[in-house]
Amino acid sequence: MRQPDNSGRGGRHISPYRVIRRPAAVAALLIGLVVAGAGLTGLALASQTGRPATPVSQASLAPIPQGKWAAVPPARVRAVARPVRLFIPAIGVRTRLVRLGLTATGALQVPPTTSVAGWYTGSPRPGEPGGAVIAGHIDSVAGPGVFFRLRLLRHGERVFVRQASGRLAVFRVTGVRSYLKSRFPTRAVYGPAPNAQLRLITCGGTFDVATGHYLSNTIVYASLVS
Amino acid sequence: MLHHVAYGTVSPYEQVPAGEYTVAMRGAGAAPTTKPVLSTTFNVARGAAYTVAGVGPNSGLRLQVIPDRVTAPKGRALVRVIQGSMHQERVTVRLNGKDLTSRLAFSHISGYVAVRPGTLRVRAAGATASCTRTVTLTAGSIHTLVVLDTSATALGVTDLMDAQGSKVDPVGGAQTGFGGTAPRPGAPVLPWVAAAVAGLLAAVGGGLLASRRRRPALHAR
Repeated sequence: MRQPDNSGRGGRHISPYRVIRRPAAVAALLIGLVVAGAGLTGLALASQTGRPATPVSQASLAPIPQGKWAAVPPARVRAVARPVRLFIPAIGVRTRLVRLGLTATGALQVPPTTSVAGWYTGSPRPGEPGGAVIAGHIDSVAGPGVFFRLRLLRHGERVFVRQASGRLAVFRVTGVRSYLKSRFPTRAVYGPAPNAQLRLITCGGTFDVATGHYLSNTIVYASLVS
Repeated sequence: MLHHVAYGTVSPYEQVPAGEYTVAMRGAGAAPTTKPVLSTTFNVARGAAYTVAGVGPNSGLRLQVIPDRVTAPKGRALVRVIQGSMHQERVTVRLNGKDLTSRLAFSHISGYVAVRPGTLRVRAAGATASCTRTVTLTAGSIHTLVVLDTSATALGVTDLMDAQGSKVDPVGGAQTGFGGTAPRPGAPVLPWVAAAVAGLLAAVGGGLLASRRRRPALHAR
């Protein structure tokens, strides 16, 4: 018995295409499997690199530092010792202060490690009239930095700066604000102020993976307690 | 509240909400309910700073509200003079040899002058007394020099810091983070999905073709 031929032309012959097409079909099968496998592997890897924000859990409370509180500076100009340590009991911050200058491009230098904060030496010393500037990292590439919980500070909470003389300048938080770096409030942060104030700076907002920088700065404003 | 404010005493700034205020001066030790010797009412604007001065001899003391500047021109310091000497009717104050104010009358205040920052020599001279001292003026700082009698025949200059800012304003924001705690979206998944789907289609198509071709060949044998 004869198989009916699809071509309807009668007579059975092996199409030259069939010889070529079979290995082609097998190749398509194999290559398809490889590509599909690669695609699925890539998909699995891509969905693994996503990461949720590290939760800002409750800080372990740091004790209020001991020492003689520095008086409100008299209006007469008098030397205030340079700052050496920073304590923010409400968010568990206890760090020494390094000295910060400017980078080659004129931007604020940042501490060399993420575990310490730094005082900008171009700003007034904390406790002197004017706004003293202290900056610290929110995080490293691996985890939280010294100012990770800075944004949690609330109005009225206290910030202590130990001066080289051993005295403590005690500040009270007056505001916590976030600004896009492209709209950084230079005047408010670095401009003249009539009384002794403090500005604590760290990063916040969205992290730009392309540049490796956050897009915003969180700034805490504080005034010396009288 | 300030107690026992003697001649030449200066208090630090007090932070108050903006609004209308009355400043009253009473004799030392007087009860707050007694009628003040002097009082003045003025409006405190948001973000502004003021000096309230009791000026004049004891017989003719008056309260003067002086607006203070709180911003300095870039890279400069601002200085002004308050002439508080009762024994020298007029005083000339020079800063590194340049007149800051000339023949300023008692209880008058000069305007602010922008100067190059540095440690500068101040000389205040009246008709019968003079004095010299140095002041350090940093960029972004605002000072008031008060000329006072240190005795009936001697002058002194008190350097008051009205306001101070950073010597140099850093450019832009601070790069204080490396993203280790930031939420991060995963890499784009669409290309991988497309590749997987295309691969599967190719495999299925290829598999179907291969199996369909094999069957007729078997039957033909």
